[in-house]
Amino acid sequence: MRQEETILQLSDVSVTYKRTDRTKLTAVSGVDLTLKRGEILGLVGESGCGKSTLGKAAVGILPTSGGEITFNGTPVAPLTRSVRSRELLKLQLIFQDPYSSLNPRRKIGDQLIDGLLNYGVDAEEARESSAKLLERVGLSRSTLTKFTHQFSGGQRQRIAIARALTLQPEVIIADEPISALDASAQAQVANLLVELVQELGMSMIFISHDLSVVRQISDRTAVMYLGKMVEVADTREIWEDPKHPYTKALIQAIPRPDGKGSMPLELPGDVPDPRVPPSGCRFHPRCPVAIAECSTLEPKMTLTEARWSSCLLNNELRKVGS
Amino acid sequence: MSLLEVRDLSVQLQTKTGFATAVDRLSFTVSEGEILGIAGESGSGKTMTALTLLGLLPQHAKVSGSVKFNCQELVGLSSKEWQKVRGAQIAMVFQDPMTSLHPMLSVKVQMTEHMVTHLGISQQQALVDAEELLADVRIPDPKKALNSYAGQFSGGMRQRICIAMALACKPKLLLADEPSTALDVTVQAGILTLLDRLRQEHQLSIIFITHDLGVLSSITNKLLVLYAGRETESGATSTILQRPRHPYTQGLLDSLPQPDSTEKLLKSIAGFPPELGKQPVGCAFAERCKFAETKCSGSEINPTFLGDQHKFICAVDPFAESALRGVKS
Repeated sequence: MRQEETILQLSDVSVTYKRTDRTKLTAVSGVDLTLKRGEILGLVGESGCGKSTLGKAAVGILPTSGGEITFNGTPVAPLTRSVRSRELLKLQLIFQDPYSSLNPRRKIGDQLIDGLLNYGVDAEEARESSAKLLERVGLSRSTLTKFTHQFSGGQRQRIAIARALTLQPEVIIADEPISALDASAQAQVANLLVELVQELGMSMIFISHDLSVVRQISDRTAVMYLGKMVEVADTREIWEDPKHPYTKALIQAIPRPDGKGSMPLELPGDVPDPRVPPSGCRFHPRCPVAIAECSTLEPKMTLTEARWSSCLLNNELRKVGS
Repeated sequence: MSLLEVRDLSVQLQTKTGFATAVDRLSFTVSEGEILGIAGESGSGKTMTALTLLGLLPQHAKVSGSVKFNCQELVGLSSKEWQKVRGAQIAMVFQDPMTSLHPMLSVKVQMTEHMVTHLGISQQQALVDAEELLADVRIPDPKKALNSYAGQFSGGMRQRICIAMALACKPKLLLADEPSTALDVTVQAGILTLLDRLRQEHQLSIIFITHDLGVLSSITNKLLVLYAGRETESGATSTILQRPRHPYTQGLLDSLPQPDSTEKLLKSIAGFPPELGKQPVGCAFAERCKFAETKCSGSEINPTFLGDQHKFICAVDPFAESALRGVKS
């Protein structure tokens, strides 16, 4: 009903890491992205494309080097952590690896109630609501008094999800939440996230390198390459008719379980060094359809036939050149 | 004559409470230039089977049955005898190229050590061969790569180096345990293409272990589906993926993301596999199977053989041709 309302807005966001050798690495470079209320947005790309960096910047735990991020109209960035607004509690992150995101030396109950205690809820009440959340994610109440080593990967990720939900977020950003899990636990945890999003009326950015899962669960899909957004569209459209050559390459690389023995198509070359990104279109050295202009002109995200993509071949070349 | 013939292979591992069966009476064969896929969830005995073929099982493991490789019986070999087989005739590529390469030793050192030992060639010759091998697996600038360290390569390149290392002594059989699972899809496609090319060019036999049916579909000729250490179904890859007869195989196929579905939830097989050593008599999958009947548990289930070497072990057989026709009409 309120589908069209934007809840999280990223405009021209850049994130630069300063490395120990003083060189700079721009992991995310001028990205625009909007998350609408109630939607699940899949964010995909190869490792090193900046999708996790973007996720962390979007919740404000990584400082940005340019651009603006607003959540429900409240600025997330640029901001320093000390003046973080209370509003931003409704924006939560779930990490990839539940083996390292939970503290092995503290009881799970104590880890869950931290957030609530910080914001003035009394301990008894906090415990009670944490217990309820644990039950909701499929674990028993007794989990509160246990330690993480007593749980499997799938169960730990459920605990991490419960922890992210303690402050009743409106938006969750899930950074590869299932890739550290066993194959059989992956579907269960992905399903749990989808159910929770629908049930609690949340919105979610689901960051993953597993395209088939993103295809199934997300309403829209955003594709990143080397710090740049290359295509954003309805999941169905992007799969049926990818507009950017990189999106096409990603889809063709997925092996199909049809028993016909067709080989997935290889995308030659490696992701280039992000410290010295290629000139022009960052994908041009690996692009099967690149033309001479691709190495000099930098494509912008443009709307062609109601679809956003950044490829020179999609915008009529003459217009761009002039 | 097959290159590898495994008959009634069982592996028992020592646990706190006694011996637990990790691999239960498996039989399969691999011919020259053939790729056998072994599919199954974690704990299904896939990796234990591979470790048996390399003689790398934990010390107190009990192995019974027979493994004939190139007419040589491998079960019961002494550790001295294993050294002549392992790495030389049967080699392995592991799942995670981040941890299977030594971070502090140059590629050169890691690649040539076993070549000198197994092939009896000089270090100089080994270096020349290693450079060729790296070029063969499409490592750009092999000479420079030899003097580099694991950390200087991306995941895909590291896995290519691991493959080159495994092939260094010209083994007849390559075991690949989830070799592409940790990689991006684009990189994975490259590794699959590489393995398939090596199979053709060197008449290499490969046992490819993974839970990813898409990967198995593209690269294998034959499939063996394992559940709780036991065979549930085996046969030609195309037959098994297109017309599975065992409910577990069907369940695995159903739990893949469905491209045309409007449903947002992924399907999964309810429940968990039995714990190691607690496999029931009869069908191990029975308690999770929606077609299970009383005849599924309590006594051994006889395998059904169909034409085309298709074999499955299910007492109910809910996807029999007649049953399928009934559903379709």
